[in-house]
Amino acid sequence: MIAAWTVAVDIGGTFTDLAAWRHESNEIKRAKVLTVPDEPVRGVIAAIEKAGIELRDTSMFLHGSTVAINAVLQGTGARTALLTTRGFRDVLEMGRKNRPDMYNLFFKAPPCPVAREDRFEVDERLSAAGAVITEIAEEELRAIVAALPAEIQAVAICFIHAYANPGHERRAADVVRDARPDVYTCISTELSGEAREYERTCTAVANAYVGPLVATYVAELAAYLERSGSSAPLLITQSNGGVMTSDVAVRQPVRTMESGPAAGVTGAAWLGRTLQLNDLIAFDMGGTSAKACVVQHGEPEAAAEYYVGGRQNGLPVQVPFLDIVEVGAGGGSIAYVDAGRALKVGPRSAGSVPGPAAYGIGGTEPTITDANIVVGRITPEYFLGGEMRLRMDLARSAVGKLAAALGMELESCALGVIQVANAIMAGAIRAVTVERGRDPRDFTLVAYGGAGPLHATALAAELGIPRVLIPAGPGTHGAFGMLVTEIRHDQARTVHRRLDAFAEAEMSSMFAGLEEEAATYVGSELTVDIAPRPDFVRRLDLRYVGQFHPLTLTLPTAGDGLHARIPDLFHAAHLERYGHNAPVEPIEVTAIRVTSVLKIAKPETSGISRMRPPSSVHQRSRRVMFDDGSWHTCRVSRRHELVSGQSLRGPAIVEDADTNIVLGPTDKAEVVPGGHLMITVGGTAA
Amino acid sequence: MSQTRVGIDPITVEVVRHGLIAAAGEMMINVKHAAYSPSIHEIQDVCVGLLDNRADILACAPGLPMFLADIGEVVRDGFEVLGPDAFQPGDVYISNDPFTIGTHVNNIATYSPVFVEGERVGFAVVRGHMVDMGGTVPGSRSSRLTEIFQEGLRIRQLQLYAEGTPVAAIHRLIADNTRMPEAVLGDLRAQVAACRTGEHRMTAIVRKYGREAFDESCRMLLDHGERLARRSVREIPDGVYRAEAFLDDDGVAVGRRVPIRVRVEVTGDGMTIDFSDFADQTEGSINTGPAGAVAIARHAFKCLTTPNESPNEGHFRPLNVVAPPGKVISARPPAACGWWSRTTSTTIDCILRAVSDAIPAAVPAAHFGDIPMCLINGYDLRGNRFVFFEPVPGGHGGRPTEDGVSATVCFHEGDTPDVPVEIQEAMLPVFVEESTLDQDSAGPGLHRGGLGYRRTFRLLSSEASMQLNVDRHYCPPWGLRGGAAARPNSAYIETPGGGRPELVLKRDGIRLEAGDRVILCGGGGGGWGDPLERPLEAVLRDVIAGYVSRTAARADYGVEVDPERRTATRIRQPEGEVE
Repeated sequence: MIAAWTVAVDIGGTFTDLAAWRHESNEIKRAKVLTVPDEPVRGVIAAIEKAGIELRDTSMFLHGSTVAINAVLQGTGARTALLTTRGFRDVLEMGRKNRPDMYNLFFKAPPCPVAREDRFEVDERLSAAGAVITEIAEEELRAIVAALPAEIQAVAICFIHAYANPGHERRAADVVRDARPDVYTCISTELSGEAREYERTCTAVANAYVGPLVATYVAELAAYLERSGSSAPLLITQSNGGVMTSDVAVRQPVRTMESGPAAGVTGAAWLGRTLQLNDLIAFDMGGTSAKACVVQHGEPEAAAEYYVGGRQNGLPVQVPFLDIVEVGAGGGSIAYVDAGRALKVGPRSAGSVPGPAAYGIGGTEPTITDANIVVGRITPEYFLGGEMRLRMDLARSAVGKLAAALGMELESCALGVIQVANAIMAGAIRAVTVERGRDPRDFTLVAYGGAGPLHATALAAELGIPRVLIPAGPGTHGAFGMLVTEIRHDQARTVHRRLDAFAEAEMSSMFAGLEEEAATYVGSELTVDIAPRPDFVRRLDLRYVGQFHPLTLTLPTAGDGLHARIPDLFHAAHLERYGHNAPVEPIEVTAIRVTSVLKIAKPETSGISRMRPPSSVHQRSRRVMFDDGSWHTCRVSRRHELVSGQSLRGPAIVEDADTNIVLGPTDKAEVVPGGHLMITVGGTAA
Repeated sequence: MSQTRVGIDPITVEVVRHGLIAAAGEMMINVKHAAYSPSIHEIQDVCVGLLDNRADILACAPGLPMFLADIGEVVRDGFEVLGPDAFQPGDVYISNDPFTIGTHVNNIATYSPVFVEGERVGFAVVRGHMVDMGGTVPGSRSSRLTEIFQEGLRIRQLQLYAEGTPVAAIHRLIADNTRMPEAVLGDLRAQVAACRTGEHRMTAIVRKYGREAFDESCRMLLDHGERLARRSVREIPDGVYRAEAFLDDDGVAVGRRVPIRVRVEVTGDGMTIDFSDFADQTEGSINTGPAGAVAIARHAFKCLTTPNESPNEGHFRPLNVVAPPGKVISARPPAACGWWSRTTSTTIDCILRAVSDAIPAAVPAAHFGDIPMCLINGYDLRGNRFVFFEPVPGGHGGRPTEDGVSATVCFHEGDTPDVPVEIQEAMLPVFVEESTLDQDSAGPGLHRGGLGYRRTFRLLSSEASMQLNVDRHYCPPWGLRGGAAARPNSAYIETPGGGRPELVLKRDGIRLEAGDRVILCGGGGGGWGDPLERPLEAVLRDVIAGYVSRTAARADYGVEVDPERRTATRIRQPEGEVE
């Protein structure tokens, strides 16, 4: 058996993407097929067949899907029961009792995946320190479990202060598993060691709610791999940018909710490391939304909180996510005139069905993609590398209706749609930079996704970002990101301690305990291409006494005197993040965190770097309208014909297999090693 | 390169609008991060905005939905007091006078002019809640106070920075008159920093598009806001609509009801909200200046007309507010204003009730209508002094389309999350026995109200003391279109062996003994439509879930439910229907 390939497949809403790495030759293969929503495994098979890879030749199979998040967003998860502490049955239903949609008399209640009659109170109580105030009433619990309706497929257990002592939750889980071995059961503290009862309850509930579905899906995929003669381990991507074994994924599917977007950021971080770029903004624009995330010093930024389905009306989950800000502007976002006669774009999207008007499959409303076609930025006959032909006439007639309603010229209106979309997307980038005290001028924008490279240079110019990097294969960058990730597990524990009263020995032993726990998730039977033992990163959540929001500080690798330096490190981090600090004030610790990382073998390049020009070069030109409102004659070239070291000068269009790259009139670009395109944005001081 | 951007196209307007909203958002994050007080960074008692040269709001980010009036008022008042041309680049002015800018003295507004190439183009404003402005009691508010002079330092249009330089005298004056000078001066610094951010962002936008295009864009975005609002008002039939309710009392004249009366007149695309019959200002501290009337009216108007739009002045142009001087919400000095927030949510509900006959499909029944307040102060588990207050949530009204939402903060508050029980118990000497929906608290209806909330807790330290301030106990949340009233707000103290829990609505300095229980209840939402018409399945579902008891199902809905067999039988028919 020749174990030649690592294969990564990423299922998204519209497309299923594949990236594969051949170890010996360092070759990268990519493929893109349509997602099969009802039978996602079929999309996986189609992608593998299109790439022409024999599964028996794989040594590792990495995979991310939207199975878990879709079940939550569409409400199609398992009928789940919840066991809570007496007096707290309604925590899940009430949420945090706030009203973000503040002027809407018809605001929505927070989502509640478990009906009240399926929520059961158990007599038991712990103190904040984890001491038992009321013993768990096991007899009563047995009676509750015995009476659970037969239709219950999953049980989530979350008790007050269990983060300080998981004993009661574990005993309750044993009772459930004894009586109902058929039911998917999980406890909150196996997923999160952090305080905040609503968020931890939601975490356990979300996990149980998607558990049975994910278990079935992973089993199906594993069976397919086995049938195809592959004995490669199956690794599943997580929302923290790492991967985990399929066993852990089945126990903790809540960790996979945003795995696709996270994989793209991981890919961007890897690119930054390869090209020695420290600070990046990963920018992903697809069909329905655009997402931005900062990578600083090579590390993607982790989020302090995350809501499945959005901050305003989503379900918070307390497992690690990257700090990705999303706005409702993607290629399929629809432009319209509102009741006050203003031009608006999104968040409603034409999706892949009926799609932008130019797809010619039923869409009639103008989308961002249609606007890009009208102004000449997308080559209609080279969409998906020529597999799909777009209709300029349909794009023009859809945008034309909008232009007429606004009393504008057709092309100016199309440009306007793009500019409004850019204003919305600039908001996402501002949110992760200036709103966090960072100057966009210090960053490189890494743009990918089907629409990212179309808008990247204009966005960069708007925000003063001096450089844009378009990775090789921008349309399958998420799948590529999976190839360059690590097996990773994050574990955290809430504590309430003054830093000056937290002795080094005690802190060390708490860290060591967490590391031992975390290691059990990454240490596995896997032997191929994997480092022998994990590395650990230690972090502390710290704040000044009196503050509410803690700041997570990554500790340098342990060394003499590190403990004594923690206060200074915190003061410095506070200054960097918020622009001020208070070195005389006492500090408190609110959580300790550990990340365990098991390295896996990964490629050294992400694309083909052509050294010599091909024999026939596809040189053309066409007129494109830019943001100054005028038409420029642009040179049009094909991405695969560019050679390493070649430079380009805007205005220009580079046709990629999955997207078009737009260079504005004052932009310059160079093909850097690996086949990536590094663009120097005109009009910004580098 | 040819310039095709001649005149102002809708695109530039939309891009400028996004830029201004983003700038206000950035100011908000700025002030919240830099602020010292939890009232700003947690409870969102803060508001920021960018104004045009005439003090019209171009974009704002209200932390609480109520803050829709005073950021413009403070600059207009500046024009009056200082003169319209008094401002120099780098200046910052401050005001907290409730009689000109509304709310109470704790709220200090800071504002700075924005200059581009030597010309003033607008203003940046930030207004935040200070923990203490001096006066008789810590925190500067109590239901016992009867004059503004007892509530601390009152400031109107003083210069905090002169052309970029801090004015030492005013800083000293403030520091000498508050119990917490570090916190107050720290928060003011944060506000000034956010004003500066606003100046920079606005300047960048003006430079990018040019002064003329900027001004024109602002004019158009306000016109756009106005068009949206007028369009919505036109959908309300012309007429004069009235409603009334009352508060239990002002905290001083205990038991004397405070009438809340509103009159709404709709003519074409304009609306007048008239408070002429509102209660006269009271001795107790529930008053505020005329900007309070404007803020309340705007809040209700916004909910009715442009709920999904980020607020600007244009949205309020169709609204005319009438509030004769001397009313609770348009009070004259020296009225005490500390607890001004008592009236706001109920008054908004009255405005909605008034127009509900005209637009029945657009208005829910009443919500619980107040911020039931429980303040605890004492020493935390580590020996530090603390003041903890948590507004109690309650039910919102049943809607023409669906049941109301349960256990959510009132209209006055918006995106203000509670403090988790696990955090409270880790920090404070409290033990929470239950935090739950309150069965049978919702107003019955075809679409019932949201359920109210109940929290039962004990204090674990005898050194802590408590203040309760709960209103709307005697005027329960009403139903609409035949829907019934909900269970009102209340608070009880239960002593071991003391028999029935004692109802305590407004009381300061409460000391609790070990074992004493406090039970806080946020009322439910009123019902919408005749409860006898509620579908049997819905009543059955409510009984199985425990939202409604079998007894209440029988009494309020005329339905006999057997939860074991999952059956429901109607035992009483809606009026006018024959079996």
